[in-house]
Amino acid sequence: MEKPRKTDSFRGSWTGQLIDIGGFEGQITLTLRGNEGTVDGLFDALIEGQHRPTRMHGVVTGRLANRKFLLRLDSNPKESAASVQFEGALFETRRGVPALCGRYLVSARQPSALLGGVMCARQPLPMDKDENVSVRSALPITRGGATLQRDERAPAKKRAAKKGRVQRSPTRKATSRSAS
Amino acid sequence: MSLSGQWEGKLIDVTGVNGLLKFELKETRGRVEGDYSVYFLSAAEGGCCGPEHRLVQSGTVSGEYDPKKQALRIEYDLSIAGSAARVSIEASLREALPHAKQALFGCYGVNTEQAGLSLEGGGLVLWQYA
Repeated sequence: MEKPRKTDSFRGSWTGQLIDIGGFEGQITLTLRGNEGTVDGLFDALIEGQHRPTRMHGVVTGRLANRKFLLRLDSNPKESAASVQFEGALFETRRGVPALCGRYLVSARQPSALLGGVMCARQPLPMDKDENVSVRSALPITRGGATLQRDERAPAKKRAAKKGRVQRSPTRKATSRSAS
Repeated sequence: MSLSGQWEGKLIDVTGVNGLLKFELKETRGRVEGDYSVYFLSAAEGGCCGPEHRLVQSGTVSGEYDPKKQALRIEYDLSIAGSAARVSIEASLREALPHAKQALFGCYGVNTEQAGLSLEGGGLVLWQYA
């Protein structure tokens, strides 16, 4: 029996990978929104395999009908004048996570190393979402394994100046350094 | 553009699993037959010596090719940790100069009842260099 279709399952954040037939690989993040039929949002891609990684980001527009995406990804004109046409299908993994996969073609008004390729992405696993929230909220600020206590007070010199005296004694400085 | 010959490339699964693919295809009047091998890559490895190739699978592929649309549809059977799966690929053929002579790129789906299998479906690119 076919699984019930979630009409709004495309909304949200997607992370995935792409391979270009020009020999490049990359990671992509999509943030999609919209209603049944129309899709818009943002994309952020990091293409590796060139002399240095190339970052592209911009806007996504397009439509979704019968679980088929037809998206256009327009990069920020300051980065490159490339436009990507993505045609893919929406499906659900066996764990019920929305995923997409499809082919893209590149049209560029200037020479582009990207020729076209495949891109697949999925939404975060339910566990990922919970973990991110709990880990971030519980994570202390650490450096080298030691928890840093943020000193909210003004620097010692400022405090001393406020009190009307400046610490000039080298002995005091050395003592305070060794203590820290 | 001809489909027959050796192809090698990579697959990316939506789960994050990556694999290296090699195909040896022969096309006759739209009918495609050949051999495949796939090496799955561990995402955790990738230090100085590159990712480790493991879980080698090999077998036969069969399918159809439409030269007018340059569209390929092939299938092969895969077995991972005792779980059988049928992989269906839909791909397009296109020139890939200057990186390679031509490329096959498309998506695959995995038809299996096994819930524990880490492959869900994704994309693949195969290149023919000579």
